[in-house]
Amino acid sequence: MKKNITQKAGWIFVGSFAGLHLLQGLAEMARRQMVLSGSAEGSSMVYQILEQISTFLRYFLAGPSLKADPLTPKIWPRDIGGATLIGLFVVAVTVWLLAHYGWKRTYLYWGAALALSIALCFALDLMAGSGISDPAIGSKNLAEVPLRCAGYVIFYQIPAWLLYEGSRYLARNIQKEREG
Amino acid sequence: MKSKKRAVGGWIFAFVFVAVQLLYCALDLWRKVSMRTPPFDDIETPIGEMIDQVIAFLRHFLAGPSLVSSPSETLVPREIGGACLIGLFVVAASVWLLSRYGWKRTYLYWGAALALSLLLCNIMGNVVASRFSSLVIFPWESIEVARRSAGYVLLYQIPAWFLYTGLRKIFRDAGEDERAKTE
Repeated sequence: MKKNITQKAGWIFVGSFAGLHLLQGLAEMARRQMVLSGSAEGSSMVYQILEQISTFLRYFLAGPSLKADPLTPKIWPRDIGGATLIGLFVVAVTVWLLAHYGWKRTYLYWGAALALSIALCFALDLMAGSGISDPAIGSKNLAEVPLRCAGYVIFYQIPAWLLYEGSRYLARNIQKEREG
Repeated sequence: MKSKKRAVGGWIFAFVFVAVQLLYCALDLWRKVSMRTPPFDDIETPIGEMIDQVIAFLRHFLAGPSLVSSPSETLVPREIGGACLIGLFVVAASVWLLSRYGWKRTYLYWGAALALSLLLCNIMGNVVASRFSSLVIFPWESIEVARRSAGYVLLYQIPAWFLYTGLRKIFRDAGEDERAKTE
């Protein structure tokens, strides 16, 4: 039973990751459509909830853009944005996947999760049409968040591998000391 | 002696966490009272500026910027700022507590640290508000950072558990490999 759950856990992770991206894309699409249709005026309860979900998930998954604002003469820390919240999650999940499944299946799961999230948000973008990419409400498309998130996931593989290899080496050395 | 020291380690951790929260709360309340009551110039002094710097650092460290969405219709990513610095500390402390004390005592320490920081900051805020006025310290203002920090502590339990169980598997596998080699 426990083995069965562990085997399924990798795909549960893929589903959760893509699900979060889909939720962010849906919330953002609905928010933009409300702004365009004028129903966001007066900031209704529904609009506020959608805005909060979209903001938190975007912040969690992809953080702010790392591009400096060209309009400001000075680069203030806030202009180049902070780190995403997802970095530590990526490192921890990668170490967990590598320890349980080895590198091949780890990258099968990560590849599936990233491809699925980008494809789903891209499909949402096509469904919504070009209308929601109005510069007045944010000119980026809905695949922006999964694409930036994928960049962070790839970037955070470096500390994940360092941590994983370091831990393995440490564990082996401890065992050798015990046996020796 | 060593095992007694080990048991005390968890409480020392909880105490340090609460002390940092209380330090932030006390400094922040002092600054708010200085800014909102006459003669309104206490923060212009070098000590005031130094305290302002400590407050800014502790606030960013413990709770980062607010994740509440901007009231404007256009959500520019930079408006929601950077992540808090405490995340890595929470993960590292949780892995350390889990490996030393197991999950029950880990959450006893975390629970005590979070509950005490929220409770004591609230008491501190109420005492200051009763001495001045509710216009100097607004309700719930004193626990804003402690509350947001508690949210981050809960959120970061997810990577902490992934890392803890992943590391356990690595160490177990290394033990089994070594045993298979010797046999």
